[in-house]
Amino acid sequence: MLLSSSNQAPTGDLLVVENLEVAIPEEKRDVTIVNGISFTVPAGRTLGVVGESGSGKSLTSLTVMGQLPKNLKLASGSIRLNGEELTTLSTDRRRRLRGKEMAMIFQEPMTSLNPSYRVGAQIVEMVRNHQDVSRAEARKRAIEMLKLVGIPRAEEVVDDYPHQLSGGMRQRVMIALALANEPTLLIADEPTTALDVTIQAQILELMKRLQAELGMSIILITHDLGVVAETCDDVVVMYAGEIVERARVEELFAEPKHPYTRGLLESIPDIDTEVDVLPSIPGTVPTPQSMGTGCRFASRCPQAFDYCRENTPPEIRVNDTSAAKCWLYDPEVVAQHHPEHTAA
Amino acid sequence: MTTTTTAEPLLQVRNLQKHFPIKKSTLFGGQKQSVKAVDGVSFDVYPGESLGIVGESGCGKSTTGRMLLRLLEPTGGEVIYQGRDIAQISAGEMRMLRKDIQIVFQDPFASLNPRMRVRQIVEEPLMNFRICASRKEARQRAREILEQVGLGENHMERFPHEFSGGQRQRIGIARALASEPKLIIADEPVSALDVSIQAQVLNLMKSLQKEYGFSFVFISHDLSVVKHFCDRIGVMYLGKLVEVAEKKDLYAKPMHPYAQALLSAIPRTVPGSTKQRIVLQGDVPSPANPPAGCPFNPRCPAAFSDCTEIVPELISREGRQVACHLYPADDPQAGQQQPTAV
Repeated sequence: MLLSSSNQAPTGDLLVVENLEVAIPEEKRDVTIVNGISFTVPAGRTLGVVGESGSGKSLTSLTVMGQLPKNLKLASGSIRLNGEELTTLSTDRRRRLRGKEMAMIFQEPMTSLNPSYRVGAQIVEMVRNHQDVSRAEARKRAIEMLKLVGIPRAEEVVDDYPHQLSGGMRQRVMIALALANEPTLLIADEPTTALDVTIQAQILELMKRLQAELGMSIILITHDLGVVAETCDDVVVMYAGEIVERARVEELFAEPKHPYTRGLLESIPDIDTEVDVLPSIPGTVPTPQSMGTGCRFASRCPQAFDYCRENTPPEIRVNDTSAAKCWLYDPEVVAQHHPEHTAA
Repeated sequence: MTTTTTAEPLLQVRNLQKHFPIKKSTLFGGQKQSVKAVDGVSFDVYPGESLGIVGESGCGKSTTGRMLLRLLEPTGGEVIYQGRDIAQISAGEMRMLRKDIQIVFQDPFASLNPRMRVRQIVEEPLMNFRICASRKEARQRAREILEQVGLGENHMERFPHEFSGGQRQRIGIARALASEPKLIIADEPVSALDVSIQAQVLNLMKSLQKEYGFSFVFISHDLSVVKHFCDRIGVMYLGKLVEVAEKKDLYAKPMHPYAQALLSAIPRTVPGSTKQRIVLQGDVPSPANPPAGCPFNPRCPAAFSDCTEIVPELISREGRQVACHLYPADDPQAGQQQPTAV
């Protein structure tokens, strides 16, 4: 159920995010940096959130986890996990959900693991925070988890400190920690970006295997379209704080709808083809302060026409499984305002 | 641009080494040990070509790049440029030689002086290397160079922090370009940039190379970028080159098992297109304590007894160089079968 529309049955959708808005509170006027994000994650599926730096993808995931930095505020929106509204929950209930029902892994494992505790102790703490088990049982569980994520000599590594492990091993520990209480939703924010390609291959393989075994849903946040192509079922593409396209993964790569997605896909050097000059997207992403009316991509878009620069496009359904925030998919607007038609 | 194999190499690197000493104190005093960051690397760079050096973190690719300019002092080996060994010349001579060999760094945030205006950053090499006789001339030339990298008049008096990552990398390229170099070492020049910006910068570097004809040593961990940009590619693993080949040969048929695994590990942007991925087991060993024999043997799916004992040499075979016991000396009879253990 990729397209978030109210008439769809709630069954099967683990997470429903509607109209999320995050802003920087400023004296005169709040500056919106994440604008009207909606998506759903069905049980057992992987949603990819793609975008470049500053697109708001990480903020979106932090909002879902309820860990938005203190200088930002959730201006509006609803987040429902298994039908339970999260935005109005008490801090205490929210904390209990975190690490139990939903867990998150970050890009840089060294900064998210506590350097002064042994990895086993950190997993034990995580387990005992949420489950009523003895220390010994929790430790057994920690070793089990380390084995599950493919750490060799788990019985010894459980007593190692994070700095004694390599980058790939630390990321495995992060995953073990996140999965210790068998969450139904795992949010992975650039989980392999800090890793080398051969280690990245190991971690992606591991995440796929664990998803199959534990049946959880995953939100994978990344800038790497190759990683998306390999691991995701559905994709949303973010640009300047908005979702500009959503589609099934095969469709996104075969037939990108939004000009930004198209530009993004073309500008990656493809390992299997040869070009002389890489197509590139001119210009840079606008800052939140400088975004006026009209489509936020218009200034960089090769297909933009005057109408785009003045009117903000809504999300337009292209077919059953895809949608794009682009006026090109509104036949009425195209007929009335596109230069090709108005000239004729 | 393809390699002109008949031409004289611009730069010859022979058995280059960088061993960092580390102290290991034990109860009975220290035992001398070293991290072999670069351990006997040899390659040539030809005029006008782009030589890619790829490898994972810690393989020694950046250390190699830095030694070519003597930003790091080699602990062994030779770097021959215009008949002279760069590793041996005096610091004064080296300074003037940097006119010919320039470097572009990965982090455009750290490699530009925050207190200098963009104009000054580009003027400095023009004056230092006496390319321009007067300040006035330097200013004019700086303007031209900045224009070439896509920065206009209105950018000249600004400071680096006022620019985005992509623009800062353009400034770094302008600075390297100013001294009219024959070789530019580009150390992960686009890794810190978003893909849409990355393409802009890669295109810029390529068009400048076409215009001026300098060579690139392009250091990167990104195999897709290297394939797009380079003519020849050297693959490094644990301080050694394991394969050096023409781009089309390497990507069509990597010979070294590590090169094979590395290429197969790249995520493809066509869903479901990844076929028989070789997932390597384990991690890269520590360069302080490399395995005996071939550095890749503990993770190599094709390793046999020789590999744990004898260090394979980088030898020519099928128009490329490979350091692997699976491929014995370049003789027409040698197939891919394993040689019998000695």
